[in-house]
Amino acid sequence: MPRDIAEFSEYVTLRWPPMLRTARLLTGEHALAEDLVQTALERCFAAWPRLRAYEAADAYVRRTIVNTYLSWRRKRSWSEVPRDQFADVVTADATELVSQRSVLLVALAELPPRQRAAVVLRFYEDLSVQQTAGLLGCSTGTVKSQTSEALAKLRDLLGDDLDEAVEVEYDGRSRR
Amino acid sequence: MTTSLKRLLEQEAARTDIPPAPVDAVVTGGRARVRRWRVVCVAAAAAAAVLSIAIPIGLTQGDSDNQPVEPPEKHGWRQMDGPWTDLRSIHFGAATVARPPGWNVEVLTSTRDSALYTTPINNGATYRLYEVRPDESVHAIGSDVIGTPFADPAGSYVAWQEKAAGEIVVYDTSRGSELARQSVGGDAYVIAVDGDTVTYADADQTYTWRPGHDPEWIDPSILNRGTVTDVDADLRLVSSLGGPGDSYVVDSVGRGALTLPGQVYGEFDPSGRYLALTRLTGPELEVADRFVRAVDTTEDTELTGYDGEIVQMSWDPSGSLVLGTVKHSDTIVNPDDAMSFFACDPATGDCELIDGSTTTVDEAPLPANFDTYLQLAWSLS
Repeated sequence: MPRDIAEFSEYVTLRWPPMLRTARLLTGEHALAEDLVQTALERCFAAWPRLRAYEAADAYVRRTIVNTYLSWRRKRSWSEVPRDQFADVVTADATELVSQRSVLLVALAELPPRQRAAVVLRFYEDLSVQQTAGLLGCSTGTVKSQTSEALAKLRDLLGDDLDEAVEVEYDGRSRR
Repeated sequence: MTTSLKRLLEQEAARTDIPPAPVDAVVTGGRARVRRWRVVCVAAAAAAAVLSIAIPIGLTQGDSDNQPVEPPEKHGWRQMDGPWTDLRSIHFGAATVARPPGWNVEVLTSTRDSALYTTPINNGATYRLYEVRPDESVHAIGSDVIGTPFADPAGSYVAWQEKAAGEIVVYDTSRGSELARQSVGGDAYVIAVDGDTVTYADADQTYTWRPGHDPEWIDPSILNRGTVTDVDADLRLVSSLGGPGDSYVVDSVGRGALTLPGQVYGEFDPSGRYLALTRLTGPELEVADRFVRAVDTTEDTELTGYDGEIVQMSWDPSGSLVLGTVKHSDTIVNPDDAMSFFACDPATGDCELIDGSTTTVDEAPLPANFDTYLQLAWSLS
């Protein structure tokens, strides 16, 4: 049991926003991301006496978020339904799609969960291959292959020019 | 491409709506998780209480058909000499005292002189510690207790941590008085009491402390970044938890007596010859298996003759391994699940259902020396 609930509460308040952002990239949905982070933090509460510093707590919660995400993907029906055909992002339809959900999230939803987690951890969280392997419980070689496959698929889905995709996504229209 | 992907991810993350942090819900949920773990632990404790009842009935009074009573040694285990409780009373030897009305008995342990139990106060934030003496007198010997008090059933010391004082307190039941206090700060917790030595740890170090002497820290290189989870004489079980390394049994100068691959924790039997061990696996530290290993021969004992899923292993003071097993359909143990108890010979692995031990998981105290499991369950849940 946490010896200092005030300290734990402060930690939750401080770390809630960045963890929620990571969780949303993993899950693709706000509500699910909130559930995910809240679950991870609840587990952190139980472990709090052993987590000496915020850095240790961050590592613990990050690991819990990833594992819970993967566990949920195994156990639960997921609200995201991968599309059979992915729309070309630079078509007119893409802007409609963007209004509902970002192109990136739709593309990430096409990835198997471990590939998605590898992409988020490597390129958003800036973790090394070794750190990512530790979180995913696999070898560094597996992380490399998962990441490579994920990038290849994202390239197929988003096109080679991802900068273009960024503009489509945030301007809501193509500049071409 | 990866640079662009990183930009995409960062921009997408920046679009996340950030509601206020649900601090209260997290704390409430965290507490519920701790309690759920306690259900499992408490269930095992209930069995220990049942065991202590069942053995006298089954062996010393004979069965209903009046067959001669077999000597307990034939079964590989003897009557428990630890304290036990039913819904109304706490029993220790010939002493019987009323349970505190309206309060759970959270922990029940003993020295050779007294039974000791805790009840929650301050809405469960801390505990009050009581001593039951053979003359049936009950004494509150500690308040503001956090964590779990540890006692040596074969000795006279009990040790616990007091929250506000930031001290570990040692009480001698043979004298009926407090023996010593050691300032440790808020992060410390007791690991074991073995004879006149208390083992405790804080966030940085693990210490052995004989009251009247200065605490001695255990060289971290001996522990190899592991955590001491049990102590018997000069042997220490050093568990690798959450890390990639192995677990070990080492002596006081770090000589390895046993290597236990992976993340393993457990408990020495009273003689120090056997270990009841639980191996954890995966990033979520799920229980992989439970086994018994002889310290000197490093041989495992295959446990046979029990059914259900083992949720607890502990030792009774006579050296029998007590298994608590549950048959449940859910992934967690529920309070109304059926739970049975088996007594096993650690040398042969033969287990026998303890007559009358089948019960349901319900409110009951923790048995002596079950605390390591609880500590780890909290830390790993």
